Amino acid sequence: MAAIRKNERWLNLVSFLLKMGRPVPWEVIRRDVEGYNAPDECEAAVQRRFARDKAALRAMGVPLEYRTDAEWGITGYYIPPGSYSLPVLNLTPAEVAVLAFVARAAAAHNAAVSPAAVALRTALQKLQFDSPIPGDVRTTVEERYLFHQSGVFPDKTSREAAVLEQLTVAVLENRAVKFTYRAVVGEAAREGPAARTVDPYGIAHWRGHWYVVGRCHERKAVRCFRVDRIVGAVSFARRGKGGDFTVPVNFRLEDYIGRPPWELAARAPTRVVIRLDEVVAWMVAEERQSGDRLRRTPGGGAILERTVSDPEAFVHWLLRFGAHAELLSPQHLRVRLADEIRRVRALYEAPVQREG
Amino acid sequence: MADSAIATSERAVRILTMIPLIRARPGIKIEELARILGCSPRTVLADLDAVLMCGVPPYLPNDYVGVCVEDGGVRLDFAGHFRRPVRLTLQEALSLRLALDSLPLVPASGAAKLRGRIERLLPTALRSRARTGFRVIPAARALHVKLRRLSRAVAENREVFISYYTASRDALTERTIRPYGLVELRGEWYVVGYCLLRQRELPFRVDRIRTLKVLPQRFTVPADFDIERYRRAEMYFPSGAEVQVRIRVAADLASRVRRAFAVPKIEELPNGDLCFSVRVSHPEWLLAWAIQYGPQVEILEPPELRTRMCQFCNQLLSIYAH
Repeated sequence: MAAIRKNERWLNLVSFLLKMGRPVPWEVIRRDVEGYNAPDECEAAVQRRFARDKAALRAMGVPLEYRTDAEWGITGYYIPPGSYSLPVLNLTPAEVAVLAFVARAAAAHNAAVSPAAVALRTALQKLQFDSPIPGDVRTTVEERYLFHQSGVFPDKTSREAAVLEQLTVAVLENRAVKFTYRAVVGEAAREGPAARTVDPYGIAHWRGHWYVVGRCHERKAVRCFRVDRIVGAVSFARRGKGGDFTVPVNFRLEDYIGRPPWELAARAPTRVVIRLDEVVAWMVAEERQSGDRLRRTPGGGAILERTVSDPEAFVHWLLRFGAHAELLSPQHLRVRLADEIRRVRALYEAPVQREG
Repeated sequence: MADSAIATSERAVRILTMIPLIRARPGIKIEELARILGCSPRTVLADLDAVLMCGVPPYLPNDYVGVCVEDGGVRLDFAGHFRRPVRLTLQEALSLRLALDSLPLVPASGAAKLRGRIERLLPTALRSRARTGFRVIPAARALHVKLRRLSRAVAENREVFISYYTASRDALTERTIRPYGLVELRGEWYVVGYCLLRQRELPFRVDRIRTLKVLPQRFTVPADFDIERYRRAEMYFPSGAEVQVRIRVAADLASRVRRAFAVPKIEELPNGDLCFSVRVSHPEWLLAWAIQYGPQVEILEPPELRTRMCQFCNQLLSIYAH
């Protein structure tokens, strides 16, 4: 029941300040507004409650200001109607149709109470004040498509949602963050989970995962971190209001995220040539990278030339195509690939290791 | 923030939108309100109860917002100072923009304009940071092209002829399908429809469609088709003829495993490796899946599949023998 009382108190306060339309001193709120006006209640408790309510309302977007009225010289709390209200947004039918798609996607996450899911829902409610989604547009979209589980809408239970919230604040306020990270490739993976301090330049979503990209203090270079590989919570590295770093002017998230694994290592690039048969050549062609040279061969296959900076990652990528792909050159990588296959075969030639 | 605290403030924001909404459209139906607010009519009524308690000093009868529900329609009195909803918060504007960017099927013409409008709602100081700092990196262009063509076929009830890579058979097959709908699951898109080759309803991964041709033939979606059936943890529908496969993986591959299978339980072995079981109907595709991780992944059971893996390795090694 406490939740209902809290809601009523908030509504009463907003209602009163909107109606007054000028700064209202604390004493008046304390004397008159329900929820703060119990005369026998301890002053400190009421003030604490008011401070909490102010913070909650501001987080909801209510511009609750403390200022002096120019005309009367009265100092107090004020909600400027101009900055309180959503600007008029008369959306075009095409824009409303887009909104219907977003609403459909959000509906798949209706049960989620993460801040991001809630923010999307309340945003959709507000935008429909001027431009409601007509019933027929909504039904067409709903009958036809189901958007599901897209990681862009973090679900209720995911710890990832909390980490994302914190990272969002850090990005917007340019605050350095600290967290423990478990790498899965390269030397960092062998070293195990490690503490990192990062200046987060940006957050990106790619293929079902969230990434934070920023300057890693330990590595003294820009690095990408997958949010679900962050162990535990994210904390701010410094106290204060932010502004711990400046983002390089030419920084682009796209330059770091969405790059294939064989381009990630900072080693000397190797030019490789592979042969692909007709079953898989088109898949590789669809995901072509800049710098790839693809030559189609009769029957639907292809010869691909590509520059890789992480041969190990490349070899593993190639193996997933089984006998549909062959590494033609360089010879030393062919040897390495064959060695890797022999290591796998050795596992299966031996009896299964006892698990316990 | 605890879930209950998040839910409480969500409710407050909803009520602050609901009051001006009713004021602007007196007599609006409860169902219409529920639709716009994306909640149930019951929630609307519960919210209206809270609105009833909303008043200003000195709290005389006319100082409270008056709620009148008649023939399913709602009217408010004494709510004149609630003219419009609260402006968008930063979090709301960002969520909206990220949602827009993440939906490949959103009609492109409206999306760009709406994105621009939302951006202008952000405080000026944050606009450029919001633009550079948050991005949804789009999938390969080829996938977008296929999704757009498929969505048109879905909307027009047109049959589609596809050349499709079936992972379980490791081969390309051709077939005609009746696309009923499109579904996204953990970053992968599926077209769900009736397959004229297999004579049943099946999901097809869009990125495994090699070529597609929209045909002139039309179809009707059966009345009992329910796209909600595909709202599930994995797209795989067991046929009953599955084999149990037991797999060991290195600890740092856990997230890859969760991406590839909806595994109920992953056990940890004493040496830190992980171990899990899956039931699959055509275990052959697991060979290529496993070998891409090198010795970090090992199929433990059944023995026949281990023998197949040896043969598979030998087949690959023969390619590299010279």
